[in-house]
Amino acid sequence: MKAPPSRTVNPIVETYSRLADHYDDERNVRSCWGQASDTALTLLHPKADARLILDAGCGTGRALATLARNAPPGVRFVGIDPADNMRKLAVRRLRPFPNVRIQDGSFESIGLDTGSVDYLFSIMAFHWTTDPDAAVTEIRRVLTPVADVDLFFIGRHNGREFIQQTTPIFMKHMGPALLLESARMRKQLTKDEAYQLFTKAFRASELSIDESYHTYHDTLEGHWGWWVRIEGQFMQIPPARKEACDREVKDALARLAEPAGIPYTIHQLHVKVRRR
Amino acid sequence: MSSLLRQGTIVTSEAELVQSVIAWVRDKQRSGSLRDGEVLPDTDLVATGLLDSLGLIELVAFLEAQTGCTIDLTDVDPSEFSVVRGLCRITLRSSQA
Repeated sequence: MKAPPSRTVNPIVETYSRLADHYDDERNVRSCWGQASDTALTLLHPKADARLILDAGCGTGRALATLARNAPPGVRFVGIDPADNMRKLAVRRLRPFPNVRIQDGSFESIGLDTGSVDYLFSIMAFHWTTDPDAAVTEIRRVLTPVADVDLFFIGRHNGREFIQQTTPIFMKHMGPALLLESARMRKQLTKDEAYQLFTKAFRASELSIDESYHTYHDTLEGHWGWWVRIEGQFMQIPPARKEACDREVKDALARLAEPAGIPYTIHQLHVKVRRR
Repeated sequence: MSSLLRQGTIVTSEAELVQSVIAWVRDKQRSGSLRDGEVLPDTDLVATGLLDSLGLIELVAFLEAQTGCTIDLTDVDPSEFSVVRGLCRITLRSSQA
């Protein structure tokens, strides 16, 4: 077993941990992210003979609970997440399932034995990796030779409506250095970039990537709740400017409104590895 | 003005760096990565919506690769950074520091 991961402070992890108690709020579950995650969950299909299933970036354990509830005897599950408070909630949710273990870990440091995982999945987490090359190497390391993988994460053009409207505002209030530092927190890959990345660890014949765009509509309040969580720049804005920045951003998003609501397009990449 | 190495050639002027940025933007537009829109030396790439924050990261990486220098964004004026010519001046200043 590898040593527990050792990490420097990651502001994204800190934010997820701080807001963990609100992660399963009705509003968040019904948001575009909740809907996209539920759809991804229906696309998970571990092989019948899979014995160890890993959820990388398990959050509060919603996907694991669904899978564990329907799993045949003998299947073990592990969920890893770097956010302390997310793991606490996952442990609480998964207490009825003795075959599920939650532990500290990240894509770059999974913390499981080499060649031990029969099926690895992740829903909307891989874009938070701090080192994509190290992440795919680590994913490859823990898999058995015939293990399958399903990774769902956002692509380069995710949230393009919001980003286009708000980049000038964030530029004004944060300045170039902070804005670029915040934007670098997410690794938003194009399909081609994702393909190049994953073929460093997997054969092209094993790998396929589905790409999709789905536009969700919501109220300003509905979007705001999750948006402040995933956007790194909100954490970087100097306090003295935050109120004015928030107001301008909300005005800009409100101007996007259509009859169905304010649109937000999730650009999703689904990396599939099939090895048998 | 200092000479800057660019893919085996020498960039000797702000004008040449400006042209390389314009060519980069137009290349991205042709590939569909960026929206259409005229780009000139005085174009504000942010206000016009041509580049979002991720696009700016890519452009800065392009300029750093072109010049071999790390662009110092400390205390940079956003209105200078957002304009093609201004970004090139910032790049040249970084290369001379």
